[in-house]
Amino acid sequence: MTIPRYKHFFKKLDKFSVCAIKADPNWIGVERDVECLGAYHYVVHGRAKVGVPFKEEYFEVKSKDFFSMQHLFPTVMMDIQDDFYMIGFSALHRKEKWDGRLVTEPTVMVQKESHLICFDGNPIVNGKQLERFDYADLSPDRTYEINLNGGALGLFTEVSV
Amino acid sequence: MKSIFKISEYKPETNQIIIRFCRLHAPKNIDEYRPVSLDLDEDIDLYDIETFTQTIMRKAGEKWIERHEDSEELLFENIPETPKGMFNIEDLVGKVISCETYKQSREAIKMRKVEL
Repeated sequence: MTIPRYKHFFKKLDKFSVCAIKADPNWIGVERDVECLGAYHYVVHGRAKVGVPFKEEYFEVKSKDFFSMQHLFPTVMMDIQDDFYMIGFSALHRKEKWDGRLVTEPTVMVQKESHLICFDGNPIVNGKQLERFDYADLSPDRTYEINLNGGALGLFTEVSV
Repeated sequence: MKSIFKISEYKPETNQIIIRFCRLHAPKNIDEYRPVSLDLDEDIDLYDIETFTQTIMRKAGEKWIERHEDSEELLFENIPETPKGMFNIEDLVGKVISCETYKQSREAIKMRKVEL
């Protein structure tokens, strides 16, 4: 019998943090929000069931899905179906609220300071080619030309302090 | 990191202990660290010495040891710098760099800030 393994990755930045997990099929994990303030997640590859321990309801996530687990807090359970790799965007403090989405449009303008994170592929922003885990601060006074180039970019804005 | 604790008093009438925590290699005598009063409630597993030790450290010890670390005197020579810009190993030679230590199961993500 092979015991499913997982690995947790983390990086704290000035205004937010980024986490990731890689997990084998059949791995089951439970996490409390005291350990992780994950606001949004992007599935690079694999499938998983996400729910609350001891509750019947769950939802499934798969490759390229962008989703939030905040409504499930304080305790979240993941049941990994396929070789799984997921990246998460986290607040630094519990009181912070963030809006997050995947960029789909060719031009982005933001109303207040925001942050772009490359989740996958090699998108090109204002002529610069990004790779996974590249990030940038976006200013409200500028326009950003986006060529997703088959990749995935997350856009995050703090909505309250 | 190894840690130690010392119970200086047990109050059976309230089921409380007075306890001190510090690192095994702490720079001071454990008796010089701040004493803490703890209830031996359901969060502390009194099944045996091993479960008691594990739960007391999880509930209080780790937090207090971290606080001691933050309040301990910092040698002038150990004050860290925060390097900015492109990574260049030669720029780091001779500098004191501060870093977070993570749980063993966590690995740092190599993120790169891009100016657009």
